[in-house]
Amino acid sequence: MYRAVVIYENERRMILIDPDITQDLAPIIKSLFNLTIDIKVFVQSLNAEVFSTREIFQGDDLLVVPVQHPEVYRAEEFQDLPESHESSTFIKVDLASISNKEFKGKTLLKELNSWAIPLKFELIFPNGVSKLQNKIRRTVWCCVKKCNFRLYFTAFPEKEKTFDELNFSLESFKDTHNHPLTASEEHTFNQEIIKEIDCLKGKMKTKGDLQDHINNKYNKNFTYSQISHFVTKLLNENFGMPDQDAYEFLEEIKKDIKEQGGNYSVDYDGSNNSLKRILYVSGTMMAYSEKFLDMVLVDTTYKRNRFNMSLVNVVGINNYGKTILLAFGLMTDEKADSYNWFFRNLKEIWKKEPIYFISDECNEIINGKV
Amino acid sequence: MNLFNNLVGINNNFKSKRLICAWHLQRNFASKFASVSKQNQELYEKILNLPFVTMKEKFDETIKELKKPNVLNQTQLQYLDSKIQIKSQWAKCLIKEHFAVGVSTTSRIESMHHILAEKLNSNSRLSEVLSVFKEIEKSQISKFKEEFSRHKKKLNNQLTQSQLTQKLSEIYTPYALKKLEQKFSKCLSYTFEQKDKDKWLRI
Repeated sequence: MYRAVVIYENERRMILIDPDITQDLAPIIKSLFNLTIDIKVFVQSLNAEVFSTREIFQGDDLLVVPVQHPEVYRAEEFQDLPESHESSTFIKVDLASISNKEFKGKTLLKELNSWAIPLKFELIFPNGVSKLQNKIRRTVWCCVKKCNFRLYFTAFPEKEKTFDELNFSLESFKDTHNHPLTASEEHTFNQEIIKEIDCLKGKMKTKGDLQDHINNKYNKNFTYSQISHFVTKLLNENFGMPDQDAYEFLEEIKKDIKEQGGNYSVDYDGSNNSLKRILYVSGTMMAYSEKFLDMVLVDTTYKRNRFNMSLVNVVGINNYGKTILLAFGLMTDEKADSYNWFFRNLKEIWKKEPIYFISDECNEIINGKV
Repeated sequence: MNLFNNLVGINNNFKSKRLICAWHLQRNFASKFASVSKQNQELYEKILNLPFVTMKEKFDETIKELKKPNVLNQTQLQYLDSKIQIKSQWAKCLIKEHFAVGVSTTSRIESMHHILAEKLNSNSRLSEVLSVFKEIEKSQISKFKEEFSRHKKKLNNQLTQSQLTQKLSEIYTPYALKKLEQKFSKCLSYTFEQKDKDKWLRI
């Protein structure tokens, strides 16, 4: 348990400070972080996980503790955001259809969005759950920055029930938008953006990069979760669900071996479709391996499939000095046991031993032991 | 430790000799013996060349030079000793005594990885991996076929009419013969002139 102080800044940044800090420290904190607005300080008890950014700032009596926890407590008595938009565009939303309903915590946002999107705006959860005196509160915001639209949902906490299982109902609200309602167009993926994501999805380093790229190119503000959700959706649409993949792969291999010869060995659990490791030698590879096993090169590569399986590549050299493929395998881990399995089966399939092996790592310790 | 597990796999199951990639070893040498470069740049370059030296004498010479006092510190000496113990696995001057297809590095497989990297990424399906391997196999075979057909045409020059090549053509395939002819014609195109008693000049 950490005693901590929550500071709110204009841009909704949150800093938690440890340990016993009172209101008197507010001006000091303000000067430390160069804050220009007034800040409010709340003391709360937190059950928080401290992670490595702890070292960001470590003064004599202050310690900044950023917190990463699903249930970050957020003090809701929060100064209203300045209305930078033109005040002439206030748009009221009729809340009658949701005011008497109860929502499950898990599907709260989904159901609300299915109500909101036809009305041309979109809702988000900016933060976690806040604790009031005897209630739990979850706040839903409009996704446009600096919009004042809020819905406050509350529920009574029950023992042995997570937030997802509680029944939330609308308590209070701020039902005016300060911007024209075009959000549904701004925040949905049109055909052009879908094409762009589809062709870039595997090529950007992170999904964050993809988010920045799309937002800059099309002048949108998609959140990270929107982009990552859409990428997985596209992947599943294009390639099918992951479970099916291993099954199809095996079927193709079996079919190929029936037609053109070859051999394979596999560590596969059919009950839950989990493929642990596989070794495959095609018909032509078998034909090569009968004659050209003078020199065999072995190496592994990574990031060549969507399941993070490492790809073991076995290559030889034929009588004209050209590189030929001799076998390949996929493995979920790189433990000694897996390699043992791989080479044991390779020997069984080849029924022959090469004269030389070349590999890239040289560890005489292991070599000495074995 | 993951990197070394493949060695365990090979050693446990195959009795064949294992070689170590000379290029990777060279990189290891470069980092381990970096301190030498400040004192003696020439010696440092010799160390880097160790895996690729073809002369036995030169190889022994540089090791003698390294083992002189005040050249290496204790840990570096230990590392060097451990490598020299298994020198038959990486030194080119020793490997070339046996038939090793003229290969002592894993550069061929790295190039294969590059081809795979162009076609596969971290989003590709497993069946895509299979199809890419099939594709590479097919393109290789078609390349071979194309090359054979190209070299099957007989050229009628002086070389093909010579008795030597006619006899050789009974043993070798047209493709191999073509390569042999190229080297043969190259060595025929040199002429030598005697300038002095002991001096020959190549033109």
